[in-house]
Amino acid sequence: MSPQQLHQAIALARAGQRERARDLFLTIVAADERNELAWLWLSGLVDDLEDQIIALENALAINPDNARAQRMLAQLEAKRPSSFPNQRPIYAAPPVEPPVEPLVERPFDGDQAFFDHALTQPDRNLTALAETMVARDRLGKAVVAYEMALAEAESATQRGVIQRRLADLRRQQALSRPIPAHTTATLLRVSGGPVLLYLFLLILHSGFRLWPPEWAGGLLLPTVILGSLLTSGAATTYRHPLWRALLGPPGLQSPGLRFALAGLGLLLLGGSYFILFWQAHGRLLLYWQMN
Amino acid sequence: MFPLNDVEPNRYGPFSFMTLTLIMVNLFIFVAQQLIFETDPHKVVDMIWVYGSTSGVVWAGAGSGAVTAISSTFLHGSFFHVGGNMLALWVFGRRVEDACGPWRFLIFYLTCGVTADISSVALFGESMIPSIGASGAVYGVMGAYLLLFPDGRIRTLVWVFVPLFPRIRAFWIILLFLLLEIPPVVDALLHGTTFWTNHWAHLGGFFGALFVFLALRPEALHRYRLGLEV
Repeated sequence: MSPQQLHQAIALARAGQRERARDLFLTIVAADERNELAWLWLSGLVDDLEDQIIALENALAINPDNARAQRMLAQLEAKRPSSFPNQRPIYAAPPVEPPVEPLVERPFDGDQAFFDHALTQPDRNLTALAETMVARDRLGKAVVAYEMALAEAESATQRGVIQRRLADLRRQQALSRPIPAHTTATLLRVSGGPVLLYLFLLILHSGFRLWPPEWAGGLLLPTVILGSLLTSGAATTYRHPLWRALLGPPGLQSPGLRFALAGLGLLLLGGSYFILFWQAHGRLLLYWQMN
Repeated sequence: MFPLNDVEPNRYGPFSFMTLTLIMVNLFIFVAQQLIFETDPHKVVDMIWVYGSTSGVVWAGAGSGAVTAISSTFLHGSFFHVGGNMLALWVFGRRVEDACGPWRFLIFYLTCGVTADISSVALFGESMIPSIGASGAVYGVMGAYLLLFPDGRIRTLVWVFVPLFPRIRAFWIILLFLLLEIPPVVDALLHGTTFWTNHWAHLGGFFGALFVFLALRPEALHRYRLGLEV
């Protein structure tokens, strides 16, 4: 399984091509059954309720701390009809159940079993267990083991060492979560650079006399802001919900549309900068000719 | 002590295209200046008067500041001037650009140059001496490097009877460059002493480094927030 396959599957799902995306995700999890993200996506793409639950349980088996998967699983469990075996009344005749083919066999979680077993041992070594979990890429379990080790630490030196390692592991855990790249804060932040540069140039252009604003400030500054928002929005934060609100469900997925909007933004930005420089340059040459 | 090269590799892309482009543009303009100087030295002097940043002209409201703040960062007075600035831009700019992406790095670089110019113009008031050079912008890039990669190691030429090439932490090199700027700035503020080097612009550019947070890639900012190496 390559990261490209995963990206392609996610792109297909986002583009609304559910069946193709589902097939690709199935290929991915068949090749790598420990792919948490693929299981999560798959849970939203399969139609059968039981399959959705299995996919989420598999995601949780890989990462029990996944709050989103927990929440989704709780919602699905609530939807489960009462005719399922575990909720079947004992006095009723067993209903004829449709043959539910499990999507993929739920994998046996050897790490979980090892972890649970190690914790029950009387001579357990929690820090060694934590490092074993780190080596097996089970950061959640490692953090749990280190937290227990911290509670049982006997000296301040030992506590200090464990606290440092815990902080390091929590940072690693945070890093493994997806980056919120589509947020409004990112859009405003990356749009800020060209606007700030223009504002600084305007300060120098006006000789530190910003009020009353010249037309370059009054008219072109809003154009720069709009151009910067368009360019950054189309180039960096094209997954922002704003685009779906403005353009309908597909949002800004089409590369052609993104290119066009970024181009329009660049045109507004470049045009405003060009007009400012043109005017300033004319005034500069005039000043030197007169002096 | 000359910083020569950042020994750490890029994280996000293999090639720092904008840093190299800026270096090439600066060198090209410098070579053009020299060629023009060979034929007509007055033309180069005029060019520096018009396109260098002159505080008195900006304060006169001649509308030049927007142009000269940018144009002055691409003009240099000597080979050592342009060579030193471009070497520092290469050493410190490569990974800063990698963390920002080329176009946002360009905006950041120019913003540092303009910040340096604003602080210099604000301090020197009616002065009619033109200021040229990329050092304000380069100090901004150095400041950004300090913020993003304080533990980065720089291959440095140190001359102690014989040339030595140790790898020194960026923190110490940039701190040294910054400390060297403070006495002349204090001298200029207290006694009005004038220097050939615009130290105030260097400090202004250095503080412009804070704007790097507007230019960082989302993933780079994410790593910075988590306290990991950007």
